[in-house]
Amino acid sequence: MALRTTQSTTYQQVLLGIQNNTQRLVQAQAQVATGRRISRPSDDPVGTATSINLRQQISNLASYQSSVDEARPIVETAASEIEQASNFMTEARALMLQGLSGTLSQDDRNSIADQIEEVANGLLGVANARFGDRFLFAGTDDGVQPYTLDGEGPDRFASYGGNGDEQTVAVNRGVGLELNVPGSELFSGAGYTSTSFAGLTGLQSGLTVDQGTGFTRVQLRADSVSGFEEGVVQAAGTALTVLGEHALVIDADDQTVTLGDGEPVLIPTPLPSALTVETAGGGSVTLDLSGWTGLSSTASLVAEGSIATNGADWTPVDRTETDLELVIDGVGVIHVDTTELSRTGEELITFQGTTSVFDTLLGAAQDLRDGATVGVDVARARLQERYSELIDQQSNTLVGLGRLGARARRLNETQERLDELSIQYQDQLSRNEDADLTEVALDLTRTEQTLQVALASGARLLQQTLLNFL
Amino acid sequence: MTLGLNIGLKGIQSSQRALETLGHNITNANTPGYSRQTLDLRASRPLDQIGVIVGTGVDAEGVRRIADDVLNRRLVGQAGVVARYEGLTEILSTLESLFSEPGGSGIGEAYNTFFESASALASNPRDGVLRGALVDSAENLSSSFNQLFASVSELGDDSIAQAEALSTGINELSAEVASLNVEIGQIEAGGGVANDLRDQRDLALIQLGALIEVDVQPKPSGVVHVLVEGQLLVGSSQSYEVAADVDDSGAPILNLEGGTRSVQPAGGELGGIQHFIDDILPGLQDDINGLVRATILEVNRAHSVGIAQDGGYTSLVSALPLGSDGADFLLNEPLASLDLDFPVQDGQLRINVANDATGDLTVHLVDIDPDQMTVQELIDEIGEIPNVQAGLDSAGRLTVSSNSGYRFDFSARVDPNPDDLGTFGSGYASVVATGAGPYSFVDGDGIDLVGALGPITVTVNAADFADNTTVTAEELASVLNSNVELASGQIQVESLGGKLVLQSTATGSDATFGITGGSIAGIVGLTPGATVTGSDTPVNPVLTGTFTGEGNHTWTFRPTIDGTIGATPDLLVEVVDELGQPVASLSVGDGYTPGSEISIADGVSVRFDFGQVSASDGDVFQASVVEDSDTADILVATGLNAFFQGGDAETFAVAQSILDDPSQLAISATGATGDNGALLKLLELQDSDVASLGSTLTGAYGTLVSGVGSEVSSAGTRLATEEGLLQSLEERRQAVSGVNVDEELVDMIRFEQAFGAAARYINVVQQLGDTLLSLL
Repeated sequence: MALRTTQSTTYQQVLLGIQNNTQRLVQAQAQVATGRRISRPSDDPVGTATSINLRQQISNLASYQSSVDEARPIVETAASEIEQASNFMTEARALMLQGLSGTLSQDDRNSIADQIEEVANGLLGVANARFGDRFLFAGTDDGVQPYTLDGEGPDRFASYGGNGDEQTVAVNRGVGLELNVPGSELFSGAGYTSTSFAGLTGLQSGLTVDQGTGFTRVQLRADSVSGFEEGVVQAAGTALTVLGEHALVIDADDQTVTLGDGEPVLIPTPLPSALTVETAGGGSVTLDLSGWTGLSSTASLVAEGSIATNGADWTPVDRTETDLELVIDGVGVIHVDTTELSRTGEELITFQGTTSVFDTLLGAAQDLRDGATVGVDVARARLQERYSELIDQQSNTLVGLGRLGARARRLNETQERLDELSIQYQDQLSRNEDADLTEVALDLTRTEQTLQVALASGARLLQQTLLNFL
Repeated sequence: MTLGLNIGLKGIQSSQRALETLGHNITNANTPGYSRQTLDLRASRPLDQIGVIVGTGVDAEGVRRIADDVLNRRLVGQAGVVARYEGLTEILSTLESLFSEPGGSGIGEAYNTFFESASALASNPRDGVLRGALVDSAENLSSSFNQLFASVSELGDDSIAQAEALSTGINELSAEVASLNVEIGQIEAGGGVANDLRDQRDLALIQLGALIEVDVQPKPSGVVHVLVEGQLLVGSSQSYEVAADVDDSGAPILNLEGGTRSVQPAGGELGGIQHFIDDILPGLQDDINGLVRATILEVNRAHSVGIAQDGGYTSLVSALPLGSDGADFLLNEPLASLDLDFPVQDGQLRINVANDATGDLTVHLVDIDPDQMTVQELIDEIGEIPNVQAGLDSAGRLTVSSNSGYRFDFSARVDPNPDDLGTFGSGYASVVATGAGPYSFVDGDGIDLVGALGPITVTVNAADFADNTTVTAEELASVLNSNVELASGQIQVESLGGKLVLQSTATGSDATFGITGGSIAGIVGLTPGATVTGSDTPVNPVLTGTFTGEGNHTWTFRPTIDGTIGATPDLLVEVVDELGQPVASLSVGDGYTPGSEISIADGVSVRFDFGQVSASDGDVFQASVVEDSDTADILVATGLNAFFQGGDAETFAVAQSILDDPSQLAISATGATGDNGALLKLLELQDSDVASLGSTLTGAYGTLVSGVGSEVSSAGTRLATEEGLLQSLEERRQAVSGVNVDEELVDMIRFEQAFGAAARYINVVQQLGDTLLSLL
């Protein structure tokens, strides 16, 4: 049997139909108004989770993008500063080449020294360059000025206050990019390649590798000389500058006396109580020949001496030592071979180690000024050494520039990729939570029509009653 | 004749009754709960008229309501189910709107802002404005969580208030049912039928069922009993009041007057509330708390081992007390039994102490076993580190401070000068024994040495040691060092990695001593006859870089032969880890330029200066390289150098020290002000899975919100289904009991005509009588 229908049921049905349709209409309207398919989590729980994750990805990308934006000017400024540094170095090289010329007067050399110091100051400015409040070349200690000049006059030296670390920023998931090249690699990384001796005293490089920086001076003195043939002695109170073993040949026929490889010296008459003979290297001894027997003789003179590194603390020299270790306070350790010592004096030693470009430049300026005191040739030799050092340093700087260039390229590539990804994610987010307006509009129209039909049919249905006909 | 009139009368009367009944029906067509009524007609008992059985007309038997009691009872049940989901949907919709997701200013946004601020600061670690911005965004994150949690909990409280309001409704309805029971019982006992009262009672029962799940039991007397979870709510003549209360878990319960136990109905609006409070709310609160705890733990792990702006700490106070009021008895409690937000793990804490003047860093490892180590032992252990003190302040918080001129931190940075003792080609003359402790000594054991002033013999006695059969190198060193002769001989004794180290007190090539013999030398592994000399050219090993490998290790460096760094052919320095596994073999002989860096492994490099190293003197140094400098989580557990404090969503907050002074933000991993290592570690959090959550922080949050959305959506779907079912039951009830006005109008015409016919019949009977009378 068919169910009985009552007016109540009809009312209920009509009402329900209108309510349902109105509700759908409101939902569709809300989607159109907000433009969003998901406005509360229950609209699409899974989609909501996806949205939250996508938003996080987009936020991440935004962080990475702003890191890249922040990093780029820093890397670019650093690169242009290094380029500037390299220019300064090129200028310094030209000045040093000029200084090497043998035809300069001391005034000219002083003037070049001034110019080199100017360049050094310019370079110091570059090394202490900042971006905002950060020093570009101080490693991660970027609140500290990396290079300061300490000391006075010839003793000036540069010290590095930064560290050797690189600042990293995250530019993608798990990808860091280093922002800076520490100054220690750019300006202090060059090393000498060998230890060299000026060659005055016959001191030679020892067997062991040396340790330290720059130049040092070693003093040698003679303490005693022995091995004379009968009748010949060292004149009392006279200077002794010969060291080591040398033959002392007295030729009775020629009436000459010869020390080692030196020139023969004529023995005057009467026999002198002070006759100076010297080796080719300049090691001399003053002889008292007043007791000479008049016979020819060949004696083996042995002059013993002492060595000092600071002009004060003398140590006797063992002439058989091939690897004498000398510790020079504040500079380093060198090893010398004393077997070929031939005379006293001060030996200039340039030895292996690392130094900063500022030390090189200031040293070069000092060398040029020193031309007057140490002799032009010595000064030129040192300058030559500094010049090759500077070339090494410049190549270090250029390596740093290359690294920064590579980073700038990586930053550009990263930025492009991040932009691309960001667009992709935005698109995904939009597809996930935004309403498809065409679809919603269609839905809206459809629901509207249904509602209208429901209203119309309901109105007609409710009017139908038997009462109309009674 | 009389019979005929009687028949006509009964006809008229019954038609009139029928018309009255249908009038009652028509007028009650829209009355809620009304069941249509119908007049039962029956032919009257016939009369035996001398063998002829004659009908006597119609009798109106009574007015009957057309109702299906089973259906009505199902309606009571279904109304309860619908009300449950209605109540639930309402609460859950409010709940989901608390999250402001997706895309609103919800917690997802707060997380994103937090990490964005951190990233911006990582690009400019010294920028004070960005530092403030990070603190603000952290505060925004914590207060968002506080607010969410408070709102969610408030929703629970609101629900309980709602339950109280519902209990009033229940009491009113049950009282109504009870009074209807009485009336119905009285009427029906007298043989009547209480049709309209029954309708009223059915309606009241449906309304009651919508509030609370009830069991309706009809009784033969016409009354119904209403039971809630087997306990009587409404009896034959009286109802029992319910009173709302909350149980231990905070869920609403009802106490029934005279009931034996409280009830927690599953159905009805109350059931919906109860389901939310019992089943949804605690899980949600746990999830939120879990997320908050993971955030605090992971952020603090990254932050606590970082170093703030001024490059190391001189004083730190933990955020949490290790015991209420710092009471003494808590000092002897193991760390595991303390009431801390996060547990202390079995592991190590690394403490670095830096000398401000020299920049020298010493690394100290504190082993922590939370089940064994007491608070006092932890304090003692930290306090033993030179230049560092530890203690509890008046509030019971752990304080760590350093002497003036020293700073400490907990970072994982590589110790740049690992050869603290000077046992690796240093200026000191030193020899490292080959045998590791513990050793066993008896009275008179001694060692013969040649010191600066000539031969020395140092002897020990069993009584010198706590236990002379298990003497550690450290213990032996301290006993030997107390010997005055040894000191005047310019010799000191140390221990390194469980082995004894003999060392000159002076440095340089003049510093020298010899070992000539003695039983101790044999026991600890020192070769008699050896003479060691210091050096003017210390090797000074320097470590650089940042350890990027996994786990925490102690690397041991040893030369393979005697030789000179940078000069001796085939000179290697072997590096092994704590398990003796090789890490690297460094070629530092004639091909090596002293002072240049050699990479060891995992981002760490070393450089050596020119100088002699000796394998035969046991030259060695150790360096600790760590991934996590606080594997014990002691910093996080106590809140030392914390970013966030608190242990759940209610207490979640930015640490007060950081709010007071944003420069306390530990950004650097190395102490350099431009370093952002600690912050980068923190930033890794946004992309990496957190162990306790099994996903990233935002991922877990997404899952949580999605879960709430699913609950709402499934409750909504369920509600629609149940409403449909209710609707169809309602339709069926209408089909059975509803009034169809048209139907009634048809009946009206029918009975109107019957009335007319009966009247006509009386007329005919009357005419018959008249006819007969006229015959008289």
